[in-house]
Formats: sequence, structure tokens, C-alpha cells
Amino acid sequence: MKVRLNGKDIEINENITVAELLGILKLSDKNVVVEINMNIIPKEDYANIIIQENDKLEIIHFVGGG
Amino acid sequence: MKELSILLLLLVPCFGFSSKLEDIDETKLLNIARSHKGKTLVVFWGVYCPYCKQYLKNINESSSYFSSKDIKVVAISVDYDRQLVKNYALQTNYFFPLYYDAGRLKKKYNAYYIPLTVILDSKGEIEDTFPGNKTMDKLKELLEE
Repeated sequence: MKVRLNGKDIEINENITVAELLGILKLSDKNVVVEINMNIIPKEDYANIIIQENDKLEIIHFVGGG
Repeated sequence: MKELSILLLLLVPCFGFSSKLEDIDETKLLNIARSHKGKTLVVFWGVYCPYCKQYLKNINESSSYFSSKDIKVVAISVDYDRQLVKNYALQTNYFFPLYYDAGRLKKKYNAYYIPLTVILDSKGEIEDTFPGNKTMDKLKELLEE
């Protein structure tokens, strides 16, 4: 199914959670904020919230140092 | 007492910008960049991002450096929750203004890795862009390249 991630359309499998998507993207939940349809998702909900088709996701990474 | 209150009200703006949160879009950002001869340091940040807040604090502590080089500093929040940013702004007293991204600048500058620093020249053109909370020494080096 199609979702919009950080302004770009991507294809992901159906019925995956936010936590699973972060796993697919190889991202740690410690240094990100996930927003779906302009709502910030609490970290404790990452494993419960299933991403829906056409959801608009934004994953903001926090970068220390660099 | 009344005179003292009036004096305090007059002095508040002298100490910083940050208690006032304004919206910003691309036109406003470019107008800021083109309004002076020096560079403009744009920092994209978020209330939830601890590195960002430390970075802003470090920049604030070097205000004399930025004024001596005629570098304007603009901090743009990429948060969706405007009230959250406003509350944060009320707690701070930075020498530079805090703005709320009302013009999809996050997308334009690809500010999905924050803090993201963008250096604009006096024409508003991008000179450099880099993520992460740089040390002030590193930031000065990048600004003076």
C-alpha cells in the first residue's frame, strides 16, 4: 500500500505497525519523533498503531554531534 | 511603582526575541537574509529534540560572535504543535528570534534530521547545510569557510 513518508510516496506492506516500520527502516525509536497525519505518536504506542493506506508520516531524526 | 512597570515593559524587548513566536515562510526568510550584508544562520529545531535545544543554547551564548560578523540567526521550529513551541519560547530569552514553520520550509530544506543548520548568503542562496549540533568552534569554522 502507498503512504507518504517525509514528503515522498513509498510502498509498504499492509498491517504493519509504526515499530515495525522503524525496524524496516533500521531506525531506533530513541532518536526519532513519528508523526502520522500531523499527530505526534507517543513512543509507547509505536507497537500498537497500524499504519493505514495514504497515511502521511513524518519521521524526524535527532542528530547529536556530527 | 507605575513608572517601574512601564520601564520593565520597555526593557523586555531589549533582552531578547524568543518570548515572541512568529510564523515564517520562505518569503519572510529570504527577506531576512537579504536585509543585511552578512550571512544568515538558519537552525531547524524541535521542542522534542534535546540536541536542538542544547545547540540553540550554545549559539545564544556566542551572541557577540554573531553580531561582530553581521550574522543573523533564525531558529525555525519544525513542530506541528504551535502551542508547544510558544510555551517553549516563553521560557527562553535568546538573542535571536524563534519562528514557527508556517510555509513548509521543513520540506523545502529537507529538515527531517534536526538540528539542521542552513547557511544563507546575503542573496538568500544556500551556502551550506549540515545536520547535528556542532560545537561553536566547528560552527564558526563552517561559517568562515
